[in-house]
Amino acid sequence: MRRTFLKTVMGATLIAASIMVMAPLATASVSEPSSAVGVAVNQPLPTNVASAQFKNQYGQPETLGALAGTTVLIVPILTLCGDTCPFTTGNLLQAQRLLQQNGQNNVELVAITVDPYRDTVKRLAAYAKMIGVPTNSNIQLWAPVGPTTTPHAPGMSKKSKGSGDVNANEAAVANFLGWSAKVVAQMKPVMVDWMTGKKLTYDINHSDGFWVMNANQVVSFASGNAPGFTGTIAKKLATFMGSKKNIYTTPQPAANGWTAAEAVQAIEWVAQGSN
Amino acid sequence: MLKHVYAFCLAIALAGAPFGAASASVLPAGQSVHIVKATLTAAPSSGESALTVSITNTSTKPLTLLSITTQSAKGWMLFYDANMCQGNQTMQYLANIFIPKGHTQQLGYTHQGAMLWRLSTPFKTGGTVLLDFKFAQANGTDETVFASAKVVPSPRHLRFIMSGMSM
Repeated sequence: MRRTFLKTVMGATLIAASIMVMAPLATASVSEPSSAVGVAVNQPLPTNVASAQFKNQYGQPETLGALAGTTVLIVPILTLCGDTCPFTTGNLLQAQRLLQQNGQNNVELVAITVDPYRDTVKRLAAYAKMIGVPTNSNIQLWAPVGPTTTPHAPGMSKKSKGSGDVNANEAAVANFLGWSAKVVAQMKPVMVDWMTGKKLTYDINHSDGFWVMNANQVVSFASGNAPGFTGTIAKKLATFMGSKKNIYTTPQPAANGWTAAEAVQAIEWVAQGSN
Repeated sequence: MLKHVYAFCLAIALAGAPFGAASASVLPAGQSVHIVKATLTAAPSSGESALTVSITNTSTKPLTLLSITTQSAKGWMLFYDANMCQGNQTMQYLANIFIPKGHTQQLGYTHQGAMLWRLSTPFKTGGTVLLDFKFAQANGTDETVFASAKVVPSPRHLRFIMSGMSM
């Protein structure tokens, strides 16, 4: 009887010890990013958004629907943005390295242009090369397929300012994620196109932030913040921005903006099936 | 159903905005959610009021907050702060807010919040307003929880400008 009791105690102790050893693994889940970073949402991808057609910087056809089974980070950019987008893409490069370090291979980082009239596949490819997107990396720059009308073609009237380019595929994603993009006057001093060397004639004021879609095609996290980048960007890009330096030790352009680490936290929180 | 989406602008910086200045009683609530510290800012009839509240999912399944409404307001919106690249900020409409099990979601004057507008009666400081919180449960059914919010003075730095509507 006593031996049985001892066996029971020893068995229970072993089980308890095993649970204690395994507990850190079981609780090593990624916590939801703070409300200052963004908010958890539950927005299944509608059919028209899933099938909206794009091409990546390599000219390959892409849709969000084709990324089912993958966790996807989505950001809005334009390659002729002189204030926030260089830091958004800087964060993407850092996030890609962090994800690699963490062994997160089933993730795509997709930057969709909000300037489809100017951001052709050729321009996206040149931008990717300029900022140093590694070949075969999980960073993709997308331009929408199909006709694009623009309010800022040569000879545009003043009243056309205040709206953005119109492209059906672009609009599907932008409307779903709540992005806006409006043509505004070019900031002074006038910037020079990093690709053509020509002076820019207008700018586009647009939404910032990042969105994370889970493997089941449900947008599960949304951040409307500007980036808060620290690190190094391409010298040519810094020159385009009118900056004399390309290494930033304080967050740019927003002190409380989203960082690569926060984006990765959101990605990993979504990827672990929290939503 | 025609859905109105109002675009608001935060006209003045909100740094340091107080959160949940007063608490409110919890009326018969479902088993799965705990709603406390609900406040609404005072506003005139047909005006706009900002909500602060703390919502805890006490169930074992996730919940999705779908709406916060009241009979005293014709319009409502869940929102999060969205930055525009040239420095201005907007309140971006949110279709819903996902609340994992055990998680507490704060709605306030910054980050994430909720607005009521087109008020049918004025919200006067010290009064209370009955709110309907509608949630989607993990099993697909909806749950409505009622809670009262105390009307508090609008912080002086808080300004809402309704700039348009679409859809």
